[in-house]
Amino acid sequence: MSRTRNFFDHLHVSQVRSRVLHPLTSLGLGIASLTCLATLFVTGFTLFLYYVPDQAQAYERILHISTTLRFGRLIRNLHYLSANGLLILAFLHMSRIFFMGSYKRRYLNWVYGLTLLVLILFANFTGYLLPWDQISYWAIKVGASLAGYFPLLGETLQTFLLGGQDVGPETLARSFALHAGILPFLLLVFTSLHLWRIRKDGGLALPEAADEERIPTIPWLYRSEAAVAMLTLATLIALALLIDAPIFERADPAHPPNPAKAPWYFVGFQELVSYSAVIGGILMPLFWAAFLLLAPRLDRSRSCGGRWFAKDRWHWNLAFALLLISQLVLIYIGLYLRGPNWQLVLPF
Amino acid sequence: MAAGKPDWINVFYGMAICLLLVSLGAAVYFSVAHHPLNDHSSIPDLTINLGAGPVREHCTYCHPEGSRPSPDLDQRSLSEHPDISPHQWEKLGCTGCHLGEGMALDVEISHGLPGLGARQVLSGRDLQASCFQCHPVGPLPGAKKAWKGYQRFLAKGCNTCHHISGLGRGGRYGPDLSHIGSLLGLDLLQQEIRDPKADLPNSIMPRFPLSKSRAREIAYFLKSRVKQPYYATPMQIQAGQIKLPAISLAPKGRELAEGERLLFERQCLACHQFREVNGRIAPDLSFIGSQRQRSYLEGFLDNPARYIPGAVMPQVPMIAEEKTTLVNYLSTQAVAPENLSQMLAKKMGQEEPAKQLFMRLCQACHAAEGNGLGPIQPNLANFPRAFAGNADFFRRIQPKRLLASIEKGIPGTSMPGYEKILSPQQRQQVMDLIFAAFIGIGQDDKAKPEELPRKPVQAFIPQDIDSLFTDLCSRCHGDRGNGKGTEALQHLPRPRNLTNHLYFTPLPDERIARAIYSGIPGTAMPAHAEQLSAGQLWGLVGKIRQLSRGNDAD
Repeated sequence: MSRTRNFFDHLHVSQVRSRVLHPLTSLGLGIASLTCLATLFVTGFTLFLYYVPDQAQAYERILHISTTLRFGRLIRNLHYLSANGLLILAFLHMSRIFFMGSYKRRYLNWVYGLTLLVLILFANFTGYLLPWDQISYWAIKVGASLAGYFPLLGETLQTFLLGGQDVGPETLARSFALHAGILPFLLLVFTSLHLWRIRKDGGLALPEAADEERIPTIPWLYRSEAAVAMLTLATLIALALLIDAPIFERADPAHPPNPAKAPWYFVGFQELVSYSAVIGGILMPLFWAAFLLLAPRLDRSRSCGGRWFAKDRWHWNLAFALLLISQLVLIYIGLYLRGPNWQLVLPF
Repeated sequence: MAAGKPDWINVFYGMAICLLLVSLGAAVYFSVAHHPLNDHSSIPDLTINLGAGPVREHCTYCHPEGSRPSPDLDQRSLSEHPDISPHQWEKLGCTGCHLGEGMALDVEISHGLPGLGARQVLSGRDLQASCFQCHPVGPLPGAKKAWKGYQRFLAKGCNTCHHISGLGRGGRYGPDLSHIGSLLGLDLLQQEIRDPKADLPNSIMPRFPLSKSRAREIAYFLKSRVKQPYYATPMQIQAGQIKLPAISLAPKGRELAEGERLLFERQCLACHQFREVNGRIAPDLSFIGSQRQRSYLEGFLDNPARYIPGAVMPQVPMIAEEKTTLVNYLSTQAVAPENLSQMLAKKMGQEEPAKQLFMRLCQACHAAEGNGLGPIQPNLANFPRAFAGNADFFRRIQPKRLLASIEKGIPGTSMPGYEKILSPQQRQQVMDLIFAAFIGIGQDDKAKPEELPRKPVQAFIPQDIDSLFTDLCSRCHGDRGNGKGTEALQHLPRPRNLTNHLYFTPLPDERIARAIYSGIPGTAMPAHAEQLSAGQLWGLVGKIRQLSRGNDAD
């Protein structure tokens, strides 16, 4: 087979076991996340050309982009959808790794992955403010206040995020700098490290099996990866035609919406804070961080990684599932069941 | 090469390519087919600077030359913009007067999103809300209602509570209205003026008797109070060079005593009643000279909340001579005539005198139905006692106390004494009427009071009493006893303000203890006889004494 080798060959082994290609092995979540990230970069560059991080102009620029420019609405919708898609897919990807125990003997890559998750959350949060409308303004205010509950570091982090004590022009300037400059760079670096580590660790984590069939990477792995990527992109585009990125009234620092809610991925913590600031603001985030960082270290089960719901890891999986479900339930309550003054309201 | 080719990948791959192509095609089709640029015109992009920085607008895409839009593109330029000379719309642009979002090219967004409605498009008669953004406030053709709105703004005394830049002495009680036009839309302004408590249940702003159209007029004026008015530089505003005109509020064509003129000019009558003029917000001042002492009036003008804790009346800024004139006038002229009841009888026809007295003197607070929900009740610091349906309460009160309340008033509340207005017979007549018409029991139908536990000799532990207060009382009466606990708004009559020293000082300890022990009928105050030991009961009495004294100290 005469074929010029290309860059991607460095990221793949030459032959993969047939199990690797089975749809249920990886669910394609990594590639789908990667596609979202690539979409974000491409649409982000386009938005970069038109957006101005200035209090007086930001909102109008968003209106201009999404109503006047050809393809502007599509691109903004794509950016919005792939940003939220990336967050969801990355979380699912992490869950997949956890439920399969694939972090075993791959702790470094697990940590790279967690770093990426934090970066994605951070990028999403800073991007949330940029339209400078009512919902984004107040969501950032609530989000930054949530950070403020954390002892010692909290207030520093809040001041760093806001560039002062309040959401203002400084916040907009630094959110933009972080969102369009620093975070994409870091995302790029850590994504590269993440991919490189997969190759170094020998591809997907799968249990050893005797005389398993091996299939050449070219073209089969490439084709399946490309198919997942294209399907993701097609889904994103289809959704972008159906779902518009939200835009509300201009930000008004004098009139908070009631209730003011954090960005959806932090609403779970906000909901917890409404019961107890200590639990929602300190203990729960610490517990998440400690659990995700330490689980691979404390997991002493014998089974090797790469098997769905291995029996000797059931308590770990159960713990993670409970954590995940509790967070989802909290987000649901916070998003849909909370009305004015954070009172419970029924959705029907 | 391995044996089994995973052929399903090819199917998957092919399907993915097809789906991607379909979605790309759809994206291109919808983005191109439904884009404004497709009618082969260019999108107009005007930049206008009216003084607050350049503003970009795409409005003339749908409204060429300021015309009304038509769904049919070719018909658009048929309706012209109305003649607005001496203005020229080409030079003013659109969003300066009409608001909206000029950078949007979407029917919904460009006309201002709903919500607060700060940028919602103004058209038709609403457009006059913009005139005073540039023009000095005054009579202006086309902005008649906005000008009337400003007059109403002053006549209703809005600026005694709200600050608004341009009127030197501003109120410090309500939110600053200097930029309110940049923050809220016309509809919301109108709604907030008419029903302030709809949005914020704890708002203390009175509900002024304004029809929709009158509230709209005030909204027109307020909508023109914007952050960066086009006619003024920030320096001019800071230097106080941009002023709102002063308007005489006293009625013309009638000679007025200086003191009576002040009642109008200092906006007292925006809320209070004085003879025929009735603001329908606050108590009657017609006979205030017979009801309150001179020193009380002087002190009250300096700090109303010191005399009636919780009163919503703001401190009205007044120079010393004005205050003296006003107090002089009120204490000498605003007194009840000797033959009040005959005068009322003449005016109201030949009804029984006690009824007329009740309607003239009591009805505004206690209501014609006697249920305490009089027209000015929502603005009072304390709920007027309900008579109707409140027999249990009156069974417990001795006639002496009731007559004393009418005679001397109730200190620390809006209830004045009628000693100098009504003769003892008249007071008794009013009382008879109240019992006969509302309470519905005989005046000697009294319940035997429950025996109160004896006050123990040993002292109470203050910490225990504090935590008891927190457990039992603070939900309604508040942690600090100011009557503003978390559940306070659920109850009418509102929980008593326990820091009201004027009210509590003359009360004997037994009365406070009895209120705690047996509750107060007709209010949300429950009986605590079962829950409290003698020590706890009297400890709480001590706590209330301490709370009301604490206020006395400052």
